[in-house]
Amino acid sequence: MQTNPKARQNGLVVQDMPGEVLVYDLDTNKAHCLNSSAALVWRSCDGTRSISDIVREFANSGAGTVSEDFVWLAIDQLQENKLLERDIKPHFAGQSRRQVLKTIGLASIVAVPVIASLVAPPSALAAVSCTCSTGGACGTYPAGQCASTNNCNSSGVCAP
Amino acid sequence: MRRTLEYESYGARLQVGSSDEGLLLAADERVRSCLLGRLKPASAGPFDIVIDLSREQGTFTMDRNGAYLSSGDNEHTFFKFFDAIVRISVAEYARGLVFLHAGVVGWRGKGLILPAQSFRGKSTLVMELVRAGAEYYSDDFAILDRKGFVRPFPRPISMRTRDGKFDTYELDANELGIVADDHPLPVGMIFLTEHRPKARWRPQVLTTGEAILETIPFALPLQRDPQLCLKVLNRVAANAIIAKSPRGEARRTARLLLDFFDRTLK
Repeated sequence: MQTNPKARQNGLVVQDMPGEVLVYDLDTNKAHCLNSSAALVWRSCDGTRSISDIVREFANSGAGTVSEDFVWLAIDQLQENKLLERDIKPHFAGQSRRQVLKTIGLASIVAVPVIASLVAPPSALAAVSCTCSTGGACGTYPAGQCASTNNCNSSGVCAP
Repeated sequence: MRRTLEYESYGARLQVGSSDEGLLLAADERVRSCLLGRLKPASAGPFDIVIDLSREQGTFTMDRNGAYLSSGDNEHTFFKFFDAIVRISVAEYARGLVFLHAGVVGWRGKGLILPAQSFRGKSTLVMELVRAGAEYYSDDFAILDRKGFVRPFPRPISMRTRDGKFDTYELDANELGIVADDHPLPVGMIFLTEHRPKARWRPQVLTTGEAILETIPFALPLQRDPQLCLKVLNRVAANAIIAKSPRGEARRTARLLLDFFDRTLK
């Protein structure tokens, strides 16, 4: 029996804004921006609503008419980004996710659910700096951030 | 005998300790200059940041909050690193404020913020904006308060040579143009850009969510207080235009950027 999806609550910092939701995951240091469709699906995942219930939520909210595949697309992305409490196997009626996305994208007047994500730097120092005291420190900065990964120059900068 | 010095800056509480008196005095001087004198003595703990300095047989060592941070035998380099650690630590632990790693100028009574990582041309662009008539706020930190205003942190502009050696030197912004006094500005625009050869200037305005997502990596208190960071960034993004574009040469970009600012915020 298919379990109803439930939005994760713990370990998340959530900011609502018009038409979007920003979620920061404290466990993974990842930030996610959910567009209006992804946000509506996520907010509807209370553990009691089935996929067809969530389809009805869309219609009731005035956001438009969507298919179950549309909702599954959002569920798939939410799951991939660990924003659901339990794993749910996607159900795209025999199609691949790419095929579903293409079909939905062409037919839908409702914005396709999209979650944009990025990983935040692991520390404040890693976020901003290429300063160093020895060359060894230069290897600890994110790849590509500094001009050198192993040389600390006379100005105290990770550079040749 | 180990001695300590205690400070409070922007609400962050910092202690610097050493059993080497000469090292401690040099550190004190450095703390005051790198924080632009914006600090006061702190009487008692607990402290957010505890930095311990030592010097043995010509090798300098720095610990932060009980963990080894770095060591080296070049005093100049060591204290440049100490300078960065102090500033970044204060930015991380400041109370009620969100420090972004960014350049900032004032234009038409509003703040223009330029978040960027190191080696992306941020300081060069700030320099050219000031030359073009913008008011210098910072080439290091955008200090955002809960109302969404940006405060100045006008340290000397830190530039790097373009000879492949990336040696640093400082520019006095007073010699380039107007330097902000202490008044905060409402944020008019956050512009995400970095220098790329043959880049095409094509500003793209972001949605609020996209804007916050792209600005998050530059928010220094993110790990410590994500709630405050997101709240303040949301406040700023709700009232400002946030856009991005790669850029070419800085002088031309400065004129294009100020023109874009004027057209978008008229």
